[in-house]
Amino acid sequence: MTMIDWQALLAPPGMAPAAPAGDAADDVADDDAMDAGGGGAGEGAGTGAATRAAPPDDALRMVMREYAGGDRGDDRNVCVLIGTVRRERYGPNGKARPASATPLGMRYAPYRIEIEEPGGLAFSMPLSVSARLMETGLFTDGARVQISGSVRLEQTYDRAFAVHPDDAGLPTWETRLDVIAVARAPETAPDGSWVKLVGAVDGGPAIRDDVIGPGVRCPIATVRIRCRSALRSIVSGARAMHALTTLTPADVALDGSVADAAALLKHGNQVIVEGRLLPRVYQRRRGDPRIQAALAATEEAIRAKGGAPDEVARRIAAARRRMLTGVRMTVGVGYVELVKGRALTDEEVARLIAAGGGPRRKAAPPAPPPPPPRADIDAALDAALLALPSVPDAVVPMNGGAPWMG
Amino acid sequence: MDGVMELIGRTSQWRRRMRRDGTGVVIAAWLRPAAGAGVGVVGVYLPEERVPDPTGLPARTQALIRAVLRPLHVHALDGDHRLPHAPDATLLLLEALEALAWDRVTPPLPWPGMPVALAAPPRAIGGGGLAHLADLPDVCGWSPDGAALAVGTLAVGRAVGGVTAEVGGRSWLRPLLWLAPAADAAGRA
Repeated sequence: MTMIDWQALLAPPGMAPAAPAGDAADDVADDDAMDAGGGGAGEGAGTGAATRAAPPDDALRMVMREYAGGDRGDDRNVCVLIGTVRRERYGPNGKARPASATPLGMRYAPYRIEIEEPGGLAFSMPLSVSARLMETGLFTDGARVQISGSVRLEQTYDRAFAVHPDDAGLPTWETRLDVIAVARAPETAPDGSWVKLVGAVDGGPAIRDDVIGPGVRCPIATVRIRCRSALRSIVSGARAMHALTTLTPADVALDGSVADAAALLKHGNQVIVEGRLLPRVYQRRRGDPRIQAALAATEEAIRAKGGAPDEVARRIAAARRRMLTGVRMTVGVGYVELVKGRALTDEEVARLIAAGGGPRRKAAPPAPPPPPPRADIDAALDAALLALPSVPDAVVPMNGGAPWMG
Repeated sequence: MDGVMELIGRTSQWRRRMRRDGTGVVIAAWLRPAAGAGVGVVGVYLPEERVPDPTGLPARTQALIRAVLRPLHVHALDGDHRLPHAPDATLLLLEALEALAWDRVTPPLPWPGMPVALAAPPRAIGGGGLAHLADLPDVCGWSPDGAALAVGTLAVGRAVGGVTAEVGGRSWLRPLLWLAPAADAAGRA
């Protein structure tokens, strides 16, 4: 679906072809149209200034030019990533995993991209690479590439929790990078990522404490940013616009290091967020029956293999720890701009941190109220009884007539 | 208890409910009779094995229910009317033999009624009397004028039904059997 100019992409970033004459003016016009037609509920209004802002670098300009739709897109959900590509392998022989086919008939090769940032952060994340992108020849083991695309949450199934061959596994949400364009990374550019999201805060924050040292904690808020983009038709001049809504998790520190972080803590606020991709480790809920079933099956399999009791116990504990620990990519927020809405006050933020989160945190269902006194119920039923017709139609002797017909 | 009665009224949604004795599942609905031998609110059920397709039952519409009086205790769901002495349960009075969408023409057949015996002396409410029945636990006999509840007289159940009241955020049910003196019943027959 994506029309990509490979010659342009394969050129060094500084040598990108010049935009056609009138491109800047067209961009402005397109953004205005997008605000009017594709913004939708609460997102289109007020973001025009943001979308009209000049792209920060060549990579973003490349994404905007090559975005799905062929001619132009918008920059409401943009991710630029520089790292090393690795083909996913499995098994003791390191055999490459085969490509997976989507229900729509497309085949995607499983790759990961490894990122080692200068600050010491190192991680890898999955990529779904379509056959068309594979044709570029850039996706080879160890190749260093610059990838541009958009991030979104996608539901997948964790096969580690499958308890029988036909079981798809545990449904889980994973942050995916939809690769739109790829190019060789410049030699001098360090590994890293840059994400820009323009959208609305979806729901309240979940607050947690990030332990950064012995007894030292930093409050972190996890929010979701809903970005709505408008895809234009592949035919120039067509009037149809197609909305594309994505949801992306974002973490923001509440220790004062990010200015205007309070703007992300209120549902419905329209914001511009810039940050980088970060892996977030979380603990799965061990009370989930599917997780319990998978843990029990794993434990049974380990016991079936046999071994010394201490060794078996260690292996079981390690397997439990591994299965209960999950990693999800999120956007580590480094810049927030409030476009529309209201930021929480310092007092409200302090109260939110003390309460441990907003409405997204699910409380235990309330216990059923105790039944009222029996005398109250009987009195109410007596009153209802007296309110009924003293002699119901059905009890009146029917002398040839049908009471319900008057 | 074997006499077949016909009621016409508006049904609620039909939902599965577990029998309290653990012997299976029934498909049940609440009926608000507009005609026939019924008043107020009546619980109606069908054994699940007799309902291959519950979606075919007339729900939220005027229905003609052909049923027998066969009270059944089931576990209550949210939205059910509950028994005051067993808040987790409710009582469905009628086992339906047939549940059809009413054609708005067919009248309900009269119910011959059933003889009942009181389990305890009646309690006066307004001008009438309320008494527990010997053969129908959790069902109260109600005589609006109290005439049917005189000690030593034979009473006949002439209509089924129930009253409900909202107390403490829940709806409570009192299943009823309208009673008439046996003489009335004989004259009616």
